[in-house]
Amino acid sequence: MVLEYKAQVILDRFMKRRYTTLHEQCSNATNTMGSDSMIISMESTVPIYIQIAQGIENDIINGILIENESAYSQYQISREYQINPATAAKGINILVQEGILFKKRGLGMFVSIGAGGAIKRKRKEIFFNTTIDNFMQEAKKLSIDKKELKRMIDEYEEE
Amino acid sequence: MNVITTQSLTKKYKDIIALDEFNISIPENKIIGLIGKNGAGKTTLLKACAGRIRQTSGEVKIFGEKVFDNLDVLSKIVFVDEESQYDDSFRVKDIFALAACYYQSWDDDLAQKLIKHFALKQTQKYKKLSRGMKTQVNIIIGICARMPLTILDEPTLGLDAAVRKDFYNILLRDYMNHPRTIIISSHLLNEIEILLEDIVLIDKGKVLMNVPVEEFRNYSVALVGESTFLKEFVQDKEVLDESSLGNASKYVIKNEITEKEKKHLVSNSIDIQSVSSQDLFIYLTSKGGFYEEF
Repeated sequence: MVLEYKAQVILDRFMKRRYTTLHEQCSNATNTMGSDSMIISMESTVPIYIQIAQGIENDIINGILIENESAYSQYQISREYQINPATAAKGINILVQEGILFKKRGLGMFVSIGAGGAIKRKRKEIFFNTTIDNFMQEAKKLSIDKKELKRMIDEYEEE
Repeated sequence: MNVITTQSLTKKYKDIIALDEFNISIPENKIIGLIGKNGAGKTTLLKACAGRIRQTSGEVKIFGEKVFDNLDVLSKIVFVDEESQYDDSFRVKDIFALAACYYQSWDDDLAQKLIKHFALKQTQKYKKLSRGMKTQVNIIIGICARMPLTILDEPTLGLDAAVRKDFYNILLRDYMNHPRTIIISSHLLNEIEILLEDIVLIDKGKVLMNVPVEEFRNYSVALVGESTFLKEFVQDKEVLDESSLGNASKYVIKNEITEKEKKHLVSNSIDIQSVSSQDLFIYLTSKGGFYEEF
C-alpha cells in the first residue's frame, strides 16, 4: 500500500514535471501575443522574478515591446499576474541593471535602444552553454552520435 | 522601521507552551505569509500582536510600543479571524456601520462595492449567514479598515476556489494603492505564496524560517534516479525527505548543489526537480518515517 502510494506520488510529480517543461518550451517558442506571452509557472525551478525578466525579454525580441518606447510597469505586471509588486520590481530591476530597460523620470520604464540585440547576444551564449549541453547529454543517453546528430539537424525542416 | 518586534515572547496555556521564547522582526509595508501546522502557534502569535491576549513572559512591540491595553497602537491594527463575534441581533449593515465608526481610515466606497460584488444581503442577520458569507464579511472589514497593520488569520475559511482567487486579487490591488503591512496566516501556501514578499514558518512555538518567498522556493531540490548512485551522492547533503521505488529513489535535499555537481547529476541521468513551497513546508514540519509503520 505504502509503496503503491509512493509510486503514485513519484509518477504524479514526474508527469507534472514533464508537462511543465513541455509547457515552458512551448510558451518560450510561441510568444506572439502581448499578455499571453508571459506565462508564470509556479512549478518551475526558475524563480518568479527571473520568469518576469525573461517574459519582458521575450516581448522585446518578438517586437511586442519596442525600443525607446514604454515597457510594463511594476504595477501592471503585478496586477496582470496577481503577484507581489516587490517580485515584479525585482524582475524589472534585473533588466535595468543589464541596461535593457531604463527609467524615464515621470514616465516610467522604457526599452533601451539596442535592447533586442543585447538580449539575443545573451541568449545565444546561454544557448551555447546550457541548451546545447542538455541537448548533447540527451543525445548521449539515446546513443545518438555526432554524425547522426548533424544529419538530424540538416534534415530538420523549419516550419 | 519594524512594525512587529518580539523578544523571547512566551505564551503558556496551563501546561501547553504555545509560543516558546519567540523572536521575530517584521518590516514595514510587506505582505507576509505566516505558515505552520495546526497548533504551531500561529493564532497565538497573531493574537499577541493584535493585543488580544497578554503574553506569559517576554515582549511584543507594535510600531515600537507595547500593544496590550494600548489604545494608541490598537487604533492602527485590524485583526480578522474566524471567531469574530457580534451580538446576535446584528445585521450585516450594522456590522459595517460599526466598522466604519471604529476604523479611522475606513474606506466606505470600497466596502459598498465589495458588499455588492460578493452579493451580501445587508439586512440579513450575521449569525444566520453561512460560513463562507461570514468570512466574506470579515474579509471586507480586514481590507476596508486599511490599517497600517492588517492581520488576517486564515482569511479564506469556507470560501470556494473562485471567491478565494477573487479575494487575493482584491487584496493585492488594494495593497498596491495603499501599501501597508499585511500578515496572512494560511495553510494554502500554494495559493498565497505568489502574493507574498516574505514567508515566516513557525513550528512548536518557534520561528523555523523568516525569508523572502523566493528563497523559500529555492531552498530545496528533488533528485530522482538510480538509488545506489543517489545514496552515495546525498551522503554529505542535508536530506529533507526520501522515498524509493525499486531501484529508483527520490531525495529532497537542501539546494546547495554546485554547477559542477549539477552536470555530474545530469550526466548520470538524475532528474533534478523543483520542490513546491507547500511540499517543502510539509517536509520541514513533519516527522518522516511514520507511514513505514503501517
